[in-house]
Amino acid sequence: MGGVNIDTGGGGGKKNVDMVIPLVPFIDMLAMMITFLMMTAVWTQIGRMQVASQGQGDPSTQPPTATLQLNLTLTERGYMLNAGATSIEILKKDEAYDTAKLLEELKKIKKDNPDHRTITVAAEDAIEYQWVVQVVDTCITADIPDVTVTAALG
Amino acid sequence: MAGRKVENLIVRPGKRPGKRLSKSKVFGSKFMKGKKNTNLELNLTSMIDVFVLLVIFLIQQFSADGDLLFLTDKIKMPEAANFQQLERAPVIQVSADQISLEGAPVAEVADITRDEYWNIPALEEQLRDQKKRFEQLREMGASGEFKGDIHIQADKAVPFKVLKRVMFSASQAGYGNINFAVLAAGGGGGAAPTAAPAAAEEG
Repeated sequence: MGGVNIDTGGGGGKKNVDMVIPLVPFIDMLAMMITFLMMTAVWTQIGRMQVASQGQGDPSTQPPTATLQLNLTLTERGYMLNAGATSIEILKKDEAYDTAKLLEELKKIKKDNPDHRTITVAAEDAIEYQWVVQVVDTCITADIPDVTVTAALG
Repeated sequence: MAGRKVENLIVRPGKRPGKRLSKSKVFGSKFMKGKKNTNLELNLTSMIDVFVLLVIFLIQQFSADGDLLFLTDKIKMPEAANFQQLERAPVIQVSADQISLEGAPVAEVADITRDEYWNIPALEEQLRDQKKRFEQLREMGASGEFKGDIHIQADKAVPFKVLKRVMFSASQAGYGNINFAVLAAGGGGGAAPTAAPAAAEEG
């Protein structure tokens, strides 16, 4: 029971070469592995988004200061994007933040300034944390990976 | 011989299986005459196939990152498509009503929103203690370097006002590399790690 008999067709006084693969321990091992993996399984993937850095390292190795000052503010009305001297206000659409429009604008800026990598994000006090995360995510999607979330806005 | 032929022609009353059913392993035995076959065959090959597939699937799902952060009912984390892999660092948990450091309650959100201070003194103090302990361990010969990394695991509905104070307190205590913990959007994988962002501008 619990074995596989591989009949090699021997007979008539010949040496018995039948081989039985013991399947029971193999099944036991698989069952134990399944139990262990099910118990330790992580069904939700968690990651991190770096939103502030204390700027360690040798100053000479620091990247050159960006010429374009890119700031994004989340307000109750929508997004306020300041790219140098230009200000773009992206108002809420149907009570929801227009992230598609923001992504479009950020991509335009990135296209005009391909080397630009930094953006500072600020938000009003009442803004929910999820919208801040959404903005950081949008900035990274628009290939502006160095996002700093600032607590400067009162 | 002739008698046998006649016997075959006589249709006896009672249940009669069809040709296919009479050959069935499961139901065929019901119509068998004589002794019942009590041998039971287990299809081990297909069972082992299923087991192996399950093990492969579960090994693919296996991840040690889940141990770094604990999900609770009180904190519903926001989702993001672009994120980096988690690293070992202190975790500040911010729920709708409480702020905790490594699972130990530090402050109440209601008290913080009432205050006009920029920092959260209790949190800052505990973070400073933690940093001091890390430095003491290093002096005693422990490996590793203090990078100032910290994770903030906050509920998605928490107002940014609370987050700002948490970030400011962490920054004041020497934890300047602030990371937001997020869930993978739509179960997608993380994006390529990004370079270190610009210097913090807290305060």
